[in-house]
Amino acid sequence: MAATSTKAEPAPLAPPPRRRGRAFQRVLRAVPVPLAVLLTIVVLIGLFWALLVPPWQAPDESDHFAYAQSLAERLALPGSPHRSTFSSDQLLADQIVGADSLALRANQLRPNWSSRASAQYRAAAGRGLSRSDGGGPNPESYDPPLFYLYTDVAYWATYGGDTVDRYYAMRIWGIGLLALTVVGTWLLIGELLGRRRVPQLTGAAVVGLLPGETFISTSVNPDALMIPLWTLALWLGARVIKRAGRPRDMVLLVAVTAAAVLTQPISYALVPATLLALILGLVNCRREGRPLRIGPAALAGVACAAPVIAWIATRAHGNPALAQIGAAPGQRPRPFSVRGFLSYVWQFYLPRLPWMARERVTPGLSVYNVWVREGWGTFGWLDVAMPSWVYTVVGSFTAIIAVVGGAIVSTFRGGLRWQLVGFFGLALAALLLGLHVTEYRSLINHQGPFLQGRYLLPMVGLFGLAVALVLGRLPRRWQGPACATLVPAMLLLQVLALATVARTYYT
Amino acid sequence: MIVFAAVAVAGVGALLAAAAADQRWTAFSADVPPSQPVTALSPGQQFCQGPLKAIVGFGSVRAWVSPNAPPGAALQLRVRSLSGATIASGRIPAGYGHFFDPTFNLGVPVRGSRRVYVCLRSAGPEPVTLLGANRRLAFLFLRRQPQSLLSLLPTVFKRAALFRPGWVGPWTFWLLLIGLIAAFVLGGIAVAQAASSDASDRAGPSAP
Repeated sequence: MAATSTKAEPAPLAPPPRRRGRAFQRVLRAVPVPLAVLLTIVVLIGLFWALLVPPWQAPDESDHFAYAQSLAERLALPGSPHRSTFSSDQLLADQIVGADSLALRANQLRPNWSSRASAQYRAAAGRGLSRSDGGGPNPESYDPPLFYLYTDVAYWATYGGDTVDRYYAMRIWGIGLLALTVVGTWLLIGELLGRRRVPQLTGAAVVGLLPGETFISTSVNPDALMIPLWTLALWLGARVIKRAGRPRDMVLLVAVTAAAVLTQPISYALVPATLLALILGLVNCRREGRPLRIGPAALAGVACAAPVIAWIATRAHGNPALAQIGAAPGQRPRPFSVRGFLSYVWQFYLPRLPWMARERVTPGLSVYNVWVREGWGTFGWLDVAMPSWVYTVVGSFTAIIAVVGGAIVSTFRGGLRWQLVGFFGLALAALLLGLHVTEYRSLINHQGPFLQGRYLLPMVGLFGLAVALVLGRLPRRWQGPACATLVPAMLLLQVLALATVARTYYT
Repeated sequence: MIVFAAVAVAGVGALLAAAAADQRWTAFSADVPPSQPVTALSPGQQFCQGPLKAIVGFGSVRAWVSPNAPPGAALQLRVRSLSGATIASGRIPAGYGHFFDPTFNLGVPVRGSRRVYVCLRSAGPEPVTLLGANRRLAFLFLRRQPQSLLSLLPTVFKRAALFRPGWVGPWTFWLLLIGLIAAFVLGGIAVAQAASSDASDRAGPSAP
């Protein structure tokens, strides 16, 4: 009834402030209490991470900061061969803190602990060194600019401060992305399992409290934006398929996919799954309704493809749009062979067979070292690790979820469920294929291993869904206790991870 | 709630016990990575670096060395005052291999806030390469007695507050630590709310 009476009234051009305030209150009231509490926890822990990690001690963070600074100060992408990579402003902070020396040597060195040096830095930074003389060759210049534009909002907001002020503001700003990943996971589980708060809370908590995820989301790194965008794309794709291609969902899915592509080139791997979701959404809707749905989706596709094409076009004569892998100096690259690639993939996931040539020269099984250890969390420049038994425990948990989840999926009946499995499977397979091809190319060019656990984090929402699915199949009387075990266990893991970082850098 | 409280209390207790048992030796570092050769010490030759400020007191020093032809020569490390007087010294015997990180245990501890030189002398017979970067040697200074991670918490937060935004101080990390403890309480509330919501939904539309 209320909706009818609202429609009858003439719509005002701009709602008065009080009504806008009420709408905001309605949105707040619509947030389920468990989700609101979980978000509070995640924000709190995110703030701890953002402030605890020493300056530029996340992978490639100096280069990402230099990119963001170039964009913020010069409104120009980095890569000019006539400029230096880092600004004088960034170099001063880097040198005094000892950030460059500390990178990859966290177990041998410590950051500068001198309060006198800290005061000296403040005085030197106050003299106004140039912030705009960077923007030179940057190994990250193939990255599209969307994340950097996002993080530059924090840069500009703290423009009056020194480098350290601006850098930490950017890290804190990343907490919003972490919260978005949690919300995306909550919505994804809710879409597929229905309004079931215990599985939703458990799945979203596992994602939001995963130490590797909190570490990356609160560092200056485009992965921080790519993870929530992929999570939202998984949710929207599931919605498009399940709700038979509602125009708004399709438009949002296309927009989120385009945003992911404009964040990290590996997100091109999301495009096939998005196209599949759109096709399945249209297939699932009534035939007579299809023309009405194709129009908005096509329009959105064109509108969202435009910036992507524009980005690729700008790269045509300058920096590449993808990570370039050339041969190592003085080394002759091996040719790409399908047989060699399959052998490499085998060795990544399974022990090498006697007749196979060694493809990845790292100790142990790569699937464990890269996807499990680094995915759950190794910090700093991947040189700060939690005790080994922790990875054994979380690796066992991951394996149980994967096996039981796979067994549950194998019992699925009905086309819609398999459509969803196909959509998620295609997204995962395309991401893995893209990553493995890139690493194999790196290996045959003698550039060494390329993969890091964080590259799998875009699929973290799917892991949360798998946890919720497994928990949701437990007898009802066990679901509460299982949730009451997993949530504090994830909090304890966070404490352990933070303590690991603290003991490495500050003792 | 009982399960949640049991897991949380047992876990926090275990972490506190581990932090109390985790003995930390590092006092401070020279902030120089052992990434490249700095100089080769011939028998009887000495290389000094400084002045360095001892941020806190220390009882041993770790260096990074590599003999040109193993086995490596015996080495002596001396800590000297600005006037050149020897404050403390330690030595390691000959017989080590390539890329070795010996710890020199000093005869007497060096107290904090002193400005000192650190000198290395080789007893021969083969030259030894000292490692560092940018013509500076890499040193890690270790405490005389280890301290537990738990007891070092105030120091950790004091150090973590350096090179941070102006509004951040050690108090910020204490507050965040309190927040972390509160997160367990909040987690309990979230679980209870979720379980209660699901129970209401199962009870049917008449349920509140």
